[in-house]
Amino acid sequence: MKRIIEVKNLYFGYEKNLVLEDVNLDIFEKDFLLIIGPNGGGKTTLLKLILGILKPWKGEINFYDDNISKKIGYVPQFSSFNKNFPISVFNMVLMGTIDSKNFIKKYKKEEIEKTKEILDKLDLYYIKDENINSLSGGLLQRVLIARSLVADPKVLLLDEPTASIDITSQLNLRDFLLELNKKITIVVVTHDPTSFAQIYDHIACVNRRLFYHGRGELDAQLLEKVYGCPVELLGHGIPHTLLKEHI
Amino acid sequence: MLEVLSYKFMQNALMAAFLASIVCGIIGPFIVTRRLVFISGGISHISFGGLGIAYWLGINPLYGATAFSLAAATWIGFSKQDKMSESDLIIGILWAFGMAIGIIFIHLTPGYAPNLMTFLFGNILTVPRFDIFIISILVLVITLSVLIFYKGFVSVALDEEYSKARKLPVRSLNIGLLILIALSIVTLIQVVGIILVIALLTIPVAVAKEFSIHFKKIILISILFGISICLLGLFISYYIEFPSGASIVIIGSILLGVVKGVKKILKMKLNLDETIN
Ligand SMILES: Nc1ncnc2c1ncn2[C@@H]1O[C@H](COP(=O)(O)OP(=O)(O)O)[C@@H](O)[C@H]1O
Ligand SMILES: [Mg+2]
Repeated sequence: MKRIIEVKNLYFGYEKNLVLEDVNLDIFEKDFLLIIGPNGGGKTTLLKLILGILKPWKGEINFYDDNISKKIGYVPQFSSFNKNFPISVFNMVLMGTIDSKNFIKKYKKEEIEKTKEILDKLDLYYIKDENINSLSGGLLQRVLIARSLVADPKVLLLDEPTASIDITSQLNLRDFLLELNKKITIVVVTHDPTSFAQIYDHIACVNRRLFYHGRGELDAQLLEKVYGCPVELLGHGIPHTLLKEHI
Repeated sequence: MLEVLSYKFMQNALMAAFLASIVCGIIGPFIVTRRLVFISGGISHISFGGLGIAYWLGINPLYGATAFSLAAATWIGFSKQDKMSESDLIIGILWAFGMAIGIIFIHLTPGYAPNLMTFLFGNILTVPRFDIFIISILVLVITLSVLIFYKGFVSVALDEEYSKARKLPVRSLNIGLLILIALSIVTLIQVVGIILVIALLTIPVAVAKEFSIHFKKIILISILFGISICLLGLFISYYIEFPSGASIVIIGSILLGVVKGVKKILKMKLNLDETIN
């Protein structure tokens, strides 16, 4: 597998509080990377650093492919956008095409066509005129994914995509991402990895520091170290399938 | 009736109403959806300080108001690292401080200060021709800026983090929007005064939001609604000599109440029909 993104000796914090310490991480072409860790562990922060929303204190983030840094799709946490803003599903998805080059130009015909195509593909076309604020969690999640896909990303970062959607939607999402993963790299951040336990290629546990593993290499001791409590106490959040078979 | 229109002050008033409506329609929706109402109120009241100083210096108060509101907007824009809805403590203090400065300087100006009420509450019937000229330029600047940067402004208003991830110049767009808000406030001061500016920036949008979820349509409806209430306020103040700013605000508020009420009744009726069927 070809390495496309490298995080190297990364340090970051807000004001004076260190949030990420000496983080190293490789992301590969067509990788399915699961990033888990407790709430407040720094997962969202790590994504924002990779996206360039935040700048590292120390260390570097390297991209090993032409333009890969401009080809990163982002599906933020639910709460992150302005719910007070009235906008239709269609326009929300169309806005995924905006970037630093075209934000003072009119929408192109291709961009509008692409939006229709993605809405169709994600089964959202029938609600294209609805206000995004009237949608259920599962539908909203799909709209956010559609928005990230109109720009043809090579890497897709999803932040807590299963939070606040029902079980059926979670399973649909998993299947959809698996299908997508045939063509692009998927990075899923979650504190509840249940849905993805079967399908990831690599897993990283983040709690200030980052521990990186391939499939089947995790053990209970490590999770204890990361989550700071015995695994049994984590309940259903950490399924046994994540761990080595002896558990 | 029509001969009223041949009066110069009436022509100015109509121009002012028209320009004010464009501004509240274009900028108001951004203020409301981004929850910048408090910041806008702050900029408006801070500008009173500049207005008072200009008055005392004997220059056009509009210049002083423009300078102070621009300074306030730029300062707020640059001091904000993250979301624009914070730092309300300092804005609150400056809000009062600007007013205090204005009042002191108007007090210091020798002679009677007949314009104080006009500045605070506006008088659409006394807008000077030269101010119409300045306001026209400001409106042109505001309109062109929003047209050019429309996609960027909307993107940042909807999702600041996502816009950053897409490498948009979020900070510049935020500062730019605040500057446009400052210019809008200056154009509106003549019509409704410092204290009522915020009403003209919010009421038309509140009405428009009841009719559409499309931002462009909200802008259009806000402009039309703004023109309607400004004209109504204008004629009320001409014929029965009510203060124009206050009339405009009261008419707007009543109409907003009516729109919301009618919508609620229609919705209740719809629900009732559904349960019956
Ligand atoms: N904008 C911010 N300003 C200050 N502290 C923050 C900010 N965002 C997150 N933090 C803090 O950084 C830590 C990591 O947060 P986050 O990356 O959101 O964790 P996670 O996504 O793993 O739940 C938390 O302690 C959180 O309180
Ligand atoms: Mg998070």
